[in-house]
Amino acid sequence: MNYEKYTSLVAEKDLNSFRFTSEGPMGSIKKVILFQSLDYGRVASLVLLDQLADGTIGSDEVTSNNGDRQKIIGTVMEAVGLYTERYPKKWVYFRGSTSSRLRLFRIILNRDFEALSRRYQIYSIIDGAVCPFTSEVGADAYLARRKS
Amino acid sequence: MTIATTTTRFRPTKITFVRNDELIEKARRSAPARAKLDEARITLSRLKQPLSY
Repeated sequence: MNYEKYTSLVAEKDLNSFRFTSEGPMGSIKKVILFQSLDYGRVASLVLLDQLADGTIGSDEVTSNNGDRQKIIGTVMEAVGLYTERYPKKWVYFRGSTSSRLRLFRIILNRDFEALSRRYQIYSIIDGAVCPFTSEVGADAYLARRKS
Repeated sequence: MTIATTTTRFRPTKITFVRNDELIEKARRSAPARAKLDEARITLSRLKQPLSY
């Protein structure tokens, strides 16, 4: 689990939000990572959003094609690490905005499960059931929390 | 504005702490962020057993 990452982040003090700039052939793209609280603050929904060229915030289905996907994944993982270090009891909820991204998450979780599971409890949500992560079945979403 | 550095196994990450950042606020208020939160809320509300905390 050795992802390159963007090493310069801007964050709010409570670590509920981060921003960084993706650099690549499509230019500089500002990205925002949000941890949005729900369920009485016990769960944080993770979302990664792009600022579009016109200054508006794009849907999380936007594909920026900036050639730095691994670096973005590494940066989001870093933000999750920082967030869960600050809030170790919170569950982080995440799901791919498209079926291909959901599949990508499953591949990453499967590939790096050994390293990730040393640090996090990871669960899949499948048809309303919360079960330990499995790569066998596609999940609707995932939950992760720091191991105590 | 405070600058802090966290150390990780691979490379240090420099974090610049800000308050009321315009882009972050814009993202937080955006329709995609609200939609994502609603979707998470719906998924969690449909869980067959409650999450353990």
